[in-house]
Amino acid sequence: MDVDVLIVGAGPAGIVSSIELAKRGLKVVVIDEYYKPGGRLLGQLYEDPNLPKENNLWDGKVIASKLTEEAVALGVTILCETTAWKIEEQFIVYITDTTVKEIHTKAIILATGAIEKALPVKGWTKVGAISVGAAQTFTNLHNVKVGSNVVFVGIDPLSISVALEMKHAGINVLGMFLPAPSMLVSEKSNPKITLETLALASNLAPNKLFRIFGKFVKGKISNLVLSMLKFNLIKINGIPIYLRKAVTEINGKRKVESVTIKKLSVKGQINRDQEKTLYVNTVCLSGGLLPLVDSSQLVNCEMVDIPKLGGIVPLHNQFLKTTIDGVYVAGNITGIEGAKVAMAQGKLAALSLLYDLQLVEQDEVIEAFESVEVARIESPLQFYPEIKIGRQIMKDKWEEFQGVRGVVN
Amino acid sequence: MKRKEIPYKDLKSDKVSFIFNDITVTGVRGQPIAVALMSNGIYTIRHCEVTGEPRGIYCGIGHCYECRATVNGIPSKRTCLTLIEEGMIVSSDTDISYGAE
Amino acid sequence: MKQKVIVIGGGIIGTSIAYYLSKNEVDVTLFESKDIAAGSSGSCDRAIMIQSKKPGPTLDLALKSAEMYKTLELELEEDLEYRKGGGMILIENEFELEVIQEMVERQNQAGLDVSIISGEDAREKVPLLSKSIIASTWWSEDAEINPMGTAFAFARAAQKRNAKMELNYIVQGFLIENGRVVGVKANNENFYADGVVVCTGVWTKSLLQSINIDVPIVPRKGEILVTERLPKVIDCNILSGSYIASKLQKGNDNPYGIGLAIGQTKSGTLLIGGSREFVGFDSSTNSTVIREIAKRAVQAFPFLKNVNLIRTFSGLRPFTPDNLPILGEIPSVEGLFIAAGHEGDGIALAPITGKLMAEIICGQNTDFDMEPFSIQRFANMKI
Repeated sequence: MDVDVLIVGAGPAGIVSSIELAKRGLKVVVIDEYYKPGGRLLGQLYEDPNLPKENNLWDGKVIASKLTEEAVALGVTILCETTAWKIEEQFIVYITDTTVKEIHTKAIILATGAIEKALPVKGWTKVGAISVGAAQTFTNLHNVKVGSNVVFVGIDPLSISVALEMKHAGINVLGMFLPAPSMLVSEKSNPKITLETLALASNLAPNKLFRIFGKFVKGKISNLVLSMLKFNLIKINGIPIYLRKAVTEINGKRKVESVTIKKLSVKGQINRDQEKTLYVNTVCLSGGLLPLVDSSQLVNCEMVDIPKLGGIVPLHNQFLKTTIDGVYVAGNITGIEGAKVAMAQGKLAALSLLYDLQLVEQDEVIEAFESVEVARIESPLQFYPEIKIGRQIMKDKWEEFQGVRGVVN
Repeated sequence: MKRKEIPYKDLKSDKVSFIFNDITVTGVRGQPIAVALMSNGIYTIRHCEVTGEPRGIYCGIGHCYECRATVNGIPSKRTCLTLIEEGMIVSSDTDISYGAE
Repeated sequence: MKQKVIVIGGGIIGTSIAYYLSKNEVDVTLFESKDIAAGSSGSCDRAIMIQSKKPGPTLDLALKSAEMYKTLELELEEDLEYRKGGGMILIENEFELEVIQEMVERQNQAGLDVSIISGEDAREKVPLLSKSIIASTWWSEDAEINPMGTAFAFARAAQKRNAKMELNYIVQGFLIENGRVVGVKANNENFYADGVVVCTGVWTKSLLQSINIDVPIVPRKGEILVTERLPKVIDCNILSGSYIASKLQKGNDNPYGIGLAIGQTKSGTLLIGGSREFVGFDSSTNSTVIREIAKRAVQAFPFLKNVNLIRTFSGLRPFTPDNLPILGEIPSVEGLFIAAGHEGDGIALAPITGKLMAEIICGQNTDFDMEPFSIQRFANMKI
């Protein structure tokens, strides 16, 4: 198959990119591993304070199908259940589809999104211990209850939002806890860091849920956070959030039957004396998100580690060009943010590519760049509170790299 | 938080039956195998080859491969991504002799 | 005072030599630019396949090495995943049968009781083998090992005997005084010793070039496919006869040197090799080669068409023009030794290489004719 642009990932970033490119007459194919397009949009269902009050439901499933329809109407080919297993230079992409085995393309947009970080609490491999993303997908996309009595391990903007969605679906959410500290899990077990992160997220996002945290921490964050932690318990819409308790073990013979809970000090140390057992049949684990970058490594993109963006990501400029000519990135592969930012980035990556092909003017690229900034401000969920600093670090690293490259050339 | 009423079940009632480890399971067209199993109260999909411990859904979107099963003789299909079909045979065991001559 | 020896290279050859030297009460320091088994020893398959080796010096060495492997787990007190499951060379047609029959006769004359069994008997041993296989060789003495695990085990055993493992040390050159090596320069620092042994595989040529010693070792790339975990399907080492036969055929249509080699790891994954290509130090994998290896694997084992690959990798094997490793002292520089160029035999030959090199470095008599492995054999060769 010969195309102008191949897009890896049919999530919000990838589909929006495909629409922008197809509008200008380019032949575009989007591949995705899932059986239907939409990516993480498919699981999203929440009230968006930035939308008009009478119609403020952000229903990702509906948005995904509208975008998909638009793309398909413009002639975009979407290949689902398809994995790219190798990308060779300028560019031959090998895929797992049984009829189309290779795609020859002039340019590539990588919009592969993110994966969840593992949260290896003792007993986490038992049946009934699922990731928070699975909980969201099964609840909102498949309309299936993952369990009747549920606890969450890991307290962050995503897990709080999923817990609320599950409660709304009629699932008994008994509480949210921190993970037991271990070599692999440290910051996520620290009550003080957890609360500060939530507070920062709440300050940046005008979402009423996270304002609850914001209220406690206005002014001098640290001291007030400490005093707040004395209370041990906060409730959001009836869901108890235990910032001073950790799940130390998930128990059960054939599947999850209970969790062991121990008290935590403010600094995240376990109090060995007090132990409680809570009977549940499902545990949702939230370890945070990690950019899914394998495809960028397949094309030999230069990679950089920027924790404020969520981890190791392909080096790219403000217009989403990577270090490999013809390869662009959009969405969570560039750093962990919400669907709105991903969509705006999808457009920016497409325009950046179109500009390089001399099909659009610079003004349009600048405009797309600015709308990413707007989307960031309007995002109801902020996963990494210092994302803007992260973006600045990326900009500096890009300039540094260009400098080095300039000298070599 | 209040939310606009949306129908909880918006899927068409289009029933599909398949076999999972010798049991007939009925799901709704368009559902992945793992979803149909969970709707029927089946959470264990396979057992770990090394320890024998039961395994089920973990990530739900095809990354972790924990939910893999043999589907119509093909091993290691991810049941969270594979849609149910009438008469489909799903098995927890890895039977690789299917592809042999 | 103890003899001090520097070993350069932390692959299976370097760590083996470090272990046998430390057993001989030598004060050993091993310098490795990355980590133990980070190069060729960590990117190969696990076969200790003896039946296919050409009678002569390599076969003699390999047989001794195979004997040592039988007791190596006890000696090193570690699980090396050693298993003597036997080995097969698959035969698909009459031409291959003819070629392999000649090979088997040679091996029998050399004292190896390799036999040819029918396709039926082969399928009895490996039930999922294709019906297109008309016959196969069988030798019960072929074995396998975890190469990376073995290199680490050698390194740990050497450490227990006070050998020092200096990882992330890049050797930049040799310290030579009056025609004798007195140490090396690594990470901008000088280290002194009574002897230095170079075990740097494919990187040997460039290292020794710095002191004007030419070693005709070139990298030969081999690609390997890894499947998902499977139940136990293959209990022995399997090679295909087509590669051996294709070398004798006119109009060889095998540009990537693909010869099937299959084994199953302890965790259940299959390692499917491999190719043989001279492409310099490029260690990328190539989709054409991957697909070609996969195609041949499915021909031999039809069930593989439904099995997922989880990964592919390639390794660089240190090739020498006469397919023999280079072992012994380098005559032009006193105290400088070399043990490199094992190509695909490094794993099989590691224990015996370590033992012999330790004896040579310590000035002991070896009960083995080392002449065929001498670097001198290349002295008059145009490289």
